[in-house]
Amino acid sequence: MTSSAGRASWTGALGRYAGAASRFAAYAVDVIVSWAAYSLGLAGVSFAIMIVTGRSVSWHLGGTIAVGVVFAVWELTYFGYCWAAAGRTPGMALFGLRVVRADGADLDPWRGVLRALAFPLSIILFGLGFVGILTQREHRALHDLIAGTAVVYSWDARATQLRRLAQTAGRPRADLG
Amino acid sequence: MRAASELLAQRVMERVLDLVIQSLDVNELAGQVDLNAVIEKIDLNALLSRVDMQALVEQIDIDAIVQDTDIGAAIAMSSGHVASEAVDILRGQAIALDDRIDHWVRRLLRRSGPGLAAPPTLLKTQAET
Repeated sequence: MTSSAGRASWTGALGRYAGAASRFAAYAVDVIVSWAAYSLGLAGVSFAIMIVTGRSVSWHLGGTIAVGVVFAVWELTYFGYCWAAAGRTPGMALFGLRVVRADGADLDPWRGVLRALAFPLSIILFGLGFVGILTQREHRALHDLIAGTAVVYSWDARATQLRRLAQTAGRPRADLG
Repeated sequence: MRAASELLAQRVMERVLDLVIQSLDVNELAGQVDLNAVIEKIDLNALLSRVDMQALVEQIDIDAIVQDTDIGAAIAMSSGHVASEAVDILRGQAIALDDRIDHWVRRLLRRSGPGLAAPPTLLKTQAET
């Protein structure tokens, strides 16, 4: 599966700038999670309207712009709240990533909100805002530079390995009965 | 008189037996026994054929065993462990891919020096630990 050289590289990753693959994978998870939550919310609202008024609501006819605006606000809220409150989104938590200040200190809530507001800029500029993640030494995207933030690995692989070794040592081995 | 002599003889015998047993080296005796030869002589199939396994199994109270075992907790612990290992593997693979991509980009940009660095505060913390 993973070579010993590869494992050696990621056991010492804690606190380092996170690379493109981890960040993209985390973002993909967040898109799925936020989209699922938004769809569930819409379904809930539709159900509530149907119960109260007795009429079914279609979000695709006539209300497309309104739905788009609500979706944009929801995405801003999702990312902004997660970064401001915890410095990470569910996707980032899954991949062991954390947003910090550019100097490595804990993120201020306002920087989290600013990062969420600046995030669309990286997309709007034909995705060029993300090129920094690949080319910059600190792997910072345009929204990172605007908000004064960076993304680092927060997963302590070495501690996880030691914990697992301790668990394995404490467990009776099948071959010894 | 006879009873007294019998008692004396019995005590003497007991004492003699004690002394003999104490002087015996049981480990050495056991070492001299060829257990493999003894086991070879035992016909396990014949022994097992005389055991009524069905009756033996019927005597086991499986319900009581199941009730005493917290199967839910065992399954939860086991699946939690598997999930945590899967997440660790996922993270490890993603970091390995990050390192590979970074390596390619550095080669393309003809950039020398160390690859992924850390923010100053975290570098300091890492150095202290």
